[in-house]
Amino acid sequence: MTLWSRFRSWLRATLRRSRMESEMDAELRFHIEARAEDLLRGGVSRQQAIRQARIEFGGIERAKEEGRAARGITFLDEMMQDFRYGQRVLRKSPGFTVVAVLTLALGIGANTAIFSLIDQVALRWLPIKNPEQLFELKQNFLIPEYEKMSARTHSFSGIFASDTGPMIAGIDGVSQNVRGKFVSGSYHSVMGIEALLGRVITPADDQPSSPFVCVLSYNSWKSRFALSSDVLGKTITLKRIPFTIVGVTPELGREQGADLLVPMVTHLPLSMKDNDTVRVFGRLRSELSETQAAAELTFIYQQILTESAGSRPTPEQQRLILEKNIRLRPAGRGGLEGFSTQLRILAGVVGMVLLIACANVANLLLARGAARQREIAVRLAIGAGRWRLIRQLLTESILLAFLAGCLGILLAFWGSQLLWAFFSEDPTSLSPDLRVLGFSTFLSVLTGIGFGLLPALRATRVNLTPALKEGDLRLGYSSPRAAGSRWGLGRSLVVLQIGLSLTLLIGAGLLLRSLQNLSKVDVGFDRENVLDMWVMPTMVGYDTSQEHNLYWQLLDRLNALPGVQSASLSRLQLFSGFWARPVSIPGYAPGTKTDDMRVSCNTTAPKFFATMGIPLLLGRDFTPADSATAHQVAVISESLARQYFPGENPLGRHFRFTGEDATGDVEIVGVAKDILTKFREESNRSSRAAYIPFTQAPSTMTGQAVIEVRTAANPRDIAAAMHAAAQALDRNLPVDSVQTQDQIVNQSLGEQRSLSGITAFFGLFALLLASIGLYGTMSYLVGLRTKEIGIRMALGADRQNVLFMVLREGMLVTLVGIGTGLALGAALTRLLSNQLYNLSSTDPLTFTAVSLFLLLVALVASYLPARRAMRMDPIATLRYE
Amino acid sequence: MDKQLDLLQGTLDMLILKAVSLGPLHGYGILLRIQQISKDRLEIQQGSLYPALYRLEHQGWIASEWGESENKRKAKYYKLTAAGKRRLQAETENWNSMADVIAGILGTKPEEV
Repeated sequence: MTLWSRFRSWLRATLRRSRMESEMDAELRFHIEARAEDLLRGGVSRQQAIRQARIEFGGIERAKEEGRAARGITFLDEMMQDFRYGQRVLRKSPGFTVVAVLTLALGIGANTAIFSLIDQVALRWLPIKNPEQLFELKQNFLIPEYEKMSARTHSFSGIFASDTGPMIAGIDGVSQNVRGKFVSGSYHSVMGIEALLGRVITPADDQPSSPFVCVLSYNSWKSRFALSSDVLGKTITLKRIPFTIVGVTPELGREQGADLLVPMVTHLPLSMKDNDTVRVFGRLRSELSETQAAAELTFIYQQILTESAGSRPTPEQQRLILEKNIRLRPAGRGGLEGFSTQLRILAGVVGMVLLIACANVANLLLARGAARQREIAVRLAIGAGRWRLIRQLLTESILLAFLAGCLGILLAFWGSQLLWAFFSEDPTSLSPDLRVLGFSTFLSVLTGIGFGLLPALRATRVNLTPALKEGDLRLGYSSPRAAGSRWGLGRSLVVLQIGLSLTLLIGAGLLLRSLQNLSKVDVGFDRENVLDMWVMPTMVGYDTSQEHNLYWQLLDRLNALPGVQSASLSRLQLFSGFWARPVSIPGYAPGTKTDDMRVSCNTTAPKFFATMGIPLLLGRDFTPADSATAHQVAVISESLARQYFPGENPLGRHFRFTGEDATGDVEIVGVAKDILTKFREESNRSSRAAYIPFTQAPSTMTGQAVIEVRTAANPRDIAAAMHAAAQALDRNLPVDSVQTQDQIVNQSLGEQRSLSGITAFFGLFALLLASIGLYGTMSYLVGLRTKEIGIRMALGADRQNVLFMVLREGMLVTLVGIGTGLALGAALTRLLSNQLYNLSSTDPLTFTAVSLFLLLVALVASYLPARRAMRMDPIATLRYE
Repeated sequence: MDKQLDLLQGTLDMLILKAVSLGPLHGYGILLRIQQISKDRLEIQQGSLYPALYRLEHQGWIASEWGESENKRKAKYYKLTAAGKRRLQAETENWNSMADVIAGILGTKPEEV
């Protein structure tokens, strides 16, 4: 109540400023005149009466000023004054302003960029009603399991299933790649999404007998149909099946977004053959906690699994079922999953950069404060309050930071696009929105206070008498009296800068060394001169025998191409993941509980080992005779042979695949050398590999394959011919991402590479700032000691002595900084340890090399001012004083 | 005339509230009213009266309105608001109990301790 009336009165006073002023004038005039009239009645002359009324009243201007203060508008007035003054001051020293603004802009920009990225992937809520109620049930569900789940659970007010994947859509006779999404009929109503045009998908669309319909996202409506309203009723072909477009829905961002939505009932015919699981989401009832719901869901899920295990589950099956549980994950906004470590490291890095930038500008301000000591002393002497002066100096800093913030937002806009490209292939528009602008404004103000406060406090702590007297005003910076200690704030700031930049450089050094280690790893196959190309016959409706025919024909054509040494194919691309299948071996019992008897399985065509450069140690390669109807064969890896057939010849021995795609006996016909399927193996599982002919693959491992070709010369040269060969067999055959195997291996290092690149960039930038700081401080100190140096030289000190005196000073600061940096580095790089490969987070070589590098740079930065000191003419310096 | 007393710190606000509680007054009128009630024993700095008025108005305890003075001149009149009435009551009680306590302390004789 009073707060509101106070605010109203303040607002009135602020907005109707001139009216308030004139009313105040009128009121005070009335008072004095009324008093004068009373005095007049007492018998004095008119002139005398007015004079006395004025005297009695006291200072009119002071009363007015206090009156304004009482209405709470002085603060604003003074702020405007400070602002105008600050603007003039900054314009008068453009060099300082430009350096400070650029330094801070990079700091603020980098932080804003990282923030907008984190905001995009993790913080922003989905544009749906009550997004906080939405949870994902963390488990891989088969569609029938989802259906039972949805019928039995009471934890949710609504539940839906979805599955995303690439699709080839025939739009107006042209094949286009789209991000497709299968959704259960309840999807739109549970999410609370309304159609922008037409209608959404309903439960009635999700029936086996319903006509095929689909819904477009806004972006694909815009890019593929130019926002035309005629789009409703048009058809899109997916795997030769026509789907009618019935509506357009809004965009949902990275996690939930897709170009094209179709009912879940089409999942079986449309999706890739290896994909039979869906993700399940639900809206949690408000009266339930996550734990309660998870308990209920886990119970139901285990019940469902038990029912499908048949009437007599084995104890082993029962144990496995009881191990399965359901966890709830908030799905109302993007999770940090998959991004977290790198984003956190980057956030730490840019935070340090901002701190260094602040220290740098604080140092500049400190020197300026020293230069402005006379001005400040004069103002204090004529009665300015210290707090008032501090506020004015702070306004200047905030103004600087604000300018930097504006520039920083531009930098961030550009930088976050780059960053996004490092982390994700999804096209997402990262436009700086209000939240991001708010963040950087807040950051700017904080920064302004952060770097401005200490210098302002220091600058206003002036000993007036010496400062006002003629003499060496600048002494305040270094003299023990003003600085409080011999060491001084300026030097401490340089120490901080050197320490932090050393930490960043150490981090960058470790990441780069680890990258180097990774690129030297022997992957077990020859990645040079191999070209990979994905073909996806299942996406245009091939059945298995058509698919096999296609592969044989394609391989024949490719093997006949000039420049091709050999061509083969595999279901899984090397270095893009592996497929674990459980096996059993007659006469072998797993010795330890940790051995889950799973091996990484890949399907191959003949010549695969020759094409990929994997040496066959024993036995033979596959041939076309290993057909679907021939007896089943496999080539196993060295590790697998060593573990399951120790000291024996595995050729001719048998094993079986168990689990979902169980087989009969498979004969081992060859042993190949181990390969890596990715860097940083968590276990040796993927080196225990079994290769089978693609003709004998279970249906889950068919549908698509990567064609591999070994060439004599540059593999890029035959990319076009390879593509043409596939298109010649079927014009509609989806062919994707023709890349060299070397690229694929390198791509798996992409995140590591960008992380170390960004860290190295900021580390070097930090070093640049730190050396500017050191150079500035040393030059400043040399300037202060001009007279002293002149006297020393006049008394016979030789130039070498002077040089070493200044260098020693600079090196002392540097060494303390390096000590700080090493300690900080040792503490912080531990956080990097899971990003490092074959490298300790306190790798002595990196720590030493980076410290030496920094020492060298610091030596140059303090040598320049030292040389200037050495070359001083003693006569000139003494005469100047 | 009796010897004038300096105003105790913080009491001016209370006196102004009391003065306008008796009826709307302009600034000069408030000054006269206080002097009249106190029988001229209180010395009020005229210059400090207006900041105090603005402060009270800012806090919502008094409200102002332009009106006509006794000699037909435009003047700004202040009157007590409902919040101001409560405030005055609270301050009065506070003052009275404080005065009792202080008087009690100061009136203590050696044999009573």
